[in-house]
Amino acid sequence: MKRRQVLGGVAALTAVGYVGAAAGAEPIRIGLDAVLTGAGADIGERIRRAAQWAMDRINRNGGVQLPDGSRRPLELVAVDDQAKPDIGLNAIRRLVDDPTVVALLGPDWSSVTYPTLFVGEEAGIAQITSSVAQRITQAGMKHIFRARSTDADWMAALADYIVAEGHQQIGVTYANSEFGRSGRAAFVRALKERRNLAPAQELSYAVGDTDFTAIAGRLVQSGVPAVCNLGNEPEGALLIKTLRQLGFRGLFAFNSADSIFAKLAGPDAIGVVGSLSWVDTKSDAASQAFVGAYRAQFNETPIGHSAIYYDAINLLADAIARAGTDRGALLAALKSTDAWGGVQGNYHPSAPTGDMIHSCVVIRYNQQLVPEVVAVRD
Amino acid sequence: MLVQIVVSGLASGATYALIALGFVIIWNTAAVVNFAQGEFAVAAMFVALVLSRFGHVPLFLALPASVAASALLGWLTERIVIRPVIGRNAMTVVTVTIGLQIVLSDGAKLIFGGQPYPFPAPFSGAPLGFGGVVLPRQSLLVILAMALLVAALHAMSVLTPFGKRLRAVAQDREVAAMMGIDVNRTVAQGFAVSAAVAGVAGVLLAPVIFVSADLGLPLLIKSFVAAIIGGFGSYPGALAGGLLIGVIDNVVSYAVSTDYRDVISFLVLIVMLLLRPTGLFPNHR
Repeated sequence: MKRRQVLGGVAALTAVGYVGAAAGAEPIRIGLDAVLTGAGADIGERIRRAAQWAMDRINRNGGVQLPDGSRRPLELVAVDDQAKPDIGLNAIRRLVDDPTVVALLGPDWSSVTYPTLFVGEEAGIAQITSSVAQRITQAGMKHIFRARSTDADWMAALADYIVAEGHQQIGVTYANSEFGRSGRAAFVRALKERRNLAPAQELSYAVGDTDFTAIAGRLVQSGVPAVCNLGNEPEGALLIKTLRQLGFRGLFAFNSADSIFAKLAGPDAIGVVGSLSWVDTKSDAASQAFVGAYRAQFNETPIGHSAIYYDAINLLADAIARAGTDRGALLAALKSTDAWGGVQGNYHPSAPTGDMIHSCVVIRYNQQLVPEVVAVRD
Repeated sequence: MLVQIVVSGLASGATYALIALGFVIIWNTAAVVNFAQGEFAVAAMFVALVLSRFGHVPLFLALPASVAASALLGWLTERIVIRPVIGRNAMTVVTVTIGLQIVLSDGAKLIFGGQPYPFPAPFSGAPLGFGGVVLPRQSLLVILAMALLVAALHAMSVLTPFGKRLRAVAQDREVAAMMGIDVNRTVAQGFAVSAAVAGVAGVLLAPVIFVSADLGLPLLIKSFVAAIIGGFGSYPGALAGGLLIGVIDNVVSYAVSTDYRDVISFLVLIVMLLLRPTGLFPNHR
């Protein structure tokens, strides 16, 4: 046997033993609360898949090395909140009541996260969420971290882009829901603070509306060259379709211009501008390495939530390696982390509010309905 | 622009009218207010979606098949859910149909999730223009289908033995039975026809508003209001009520605000019930 083969064999045996040692150890459990059934389950399943995949990659490399030098694998404990606060409360209580769960991920829906925040705070357990409602990190709770930029960041980026495109007269439409009103307030504030502009026209609609002729008609009559819509994908798709039918050829910006919107709007999505926390077409090295590995693993393109929860697991693994598995020590380790680099960009877990990241992108759909990144904000 | 708003309102109202027609058929046949009527439309949407998108069945086959499936659902509804409670307290029957609405809606959410699905239009292309007023081809199709269905239902009611059986059962079930009419069978067929009409509305609407599990209730509410304004039990009334609601919705949204749209629609309903409780066309069945 050649010397190189002997060395290779020894290395392989060492690696197997290394991984095996971690695999045989008691796993470190991380809880995940997500929407796994009912409305929103599609994204919830993407979240669970990304978190599990991040753990699998860590475990394949021997798990997490703790401060005492031992190695332990990670294990995901996923619970379903069905996007309902009462069910979410019970699900999160189950996770928190399990003393082997060292940290929490989720929820994703703000309507579940906000009323259940106290559970994690009382337990002193670190919680990383993707919910965007501003008030979640404004309640003064020290255990909550947000791994996603919020509508204040997105709207600032969007306002900058629209004005930079030469549009001063901007019509604003928004869904009469918390999400729509919050987006509208953030956009109008960004427009005022950054560009000293006010909307030329403001119109609201109800979630679930299906006929947008009246709103589109008023926008077309007003002659605004740009419209910024704040709401959900179905209404946004119907609004742009109606605007195009009535002859509107201006810029349409939308705060939910994701792949769901593009599918619903079809060719009418061409040219639509949107702001997202992260998109798979972001060209930086970390994003492209993540997208390539994700596609190789799942044969599909990752969404923003994939990057958020992939990063969250890796951030927690990094903190566990430094602080161990005690909930309090882990929370303190996160709070003392000034900067950490992930797929989405630079995180700042030590931020007083828990808003760890402010990076976002402005995208514009091209002729092939691919969201091209036209601006990056970090 | 106001003409455009009115024309678009007519297109929206046509869909309310179609579902309201289904209400009227069941009411005229079984004296039952079926609050699951909107779900028949949604069921047809999802059958068409599954056949065309996942089964790759051509639209010209998927659309009639989904209407037939909706008719089957209506027939099964009568056999399994309605027949055991017919003749009991009116509240019992109403409660059963409300329960059925919730079961069908939540069942669709469990199977398909809450997200909307795009659906291809059978006639794609640029909207048609008439003197500055644009009308999407699908909206024109909805208006034409509504006009054809109203005419066909009227002809069926007046000219066919089946229509005469339906009317006989509606007028007096006991006398109809004494005359040799199989009342149960006729009522079940009435449910099937009603669900088929809702199914037509569903497949016509699918390309316009997408397919989603939570569409049934909003469609139901507007259509119910349309049927009451028209005169519950009247085919022309359902048509007029649906169109009126569609136009009022759009004109209010345009001239005032969408925030006041439902307020004004329901004010019209209240005023109508106060001034003319029998509706616009109480005697036209």
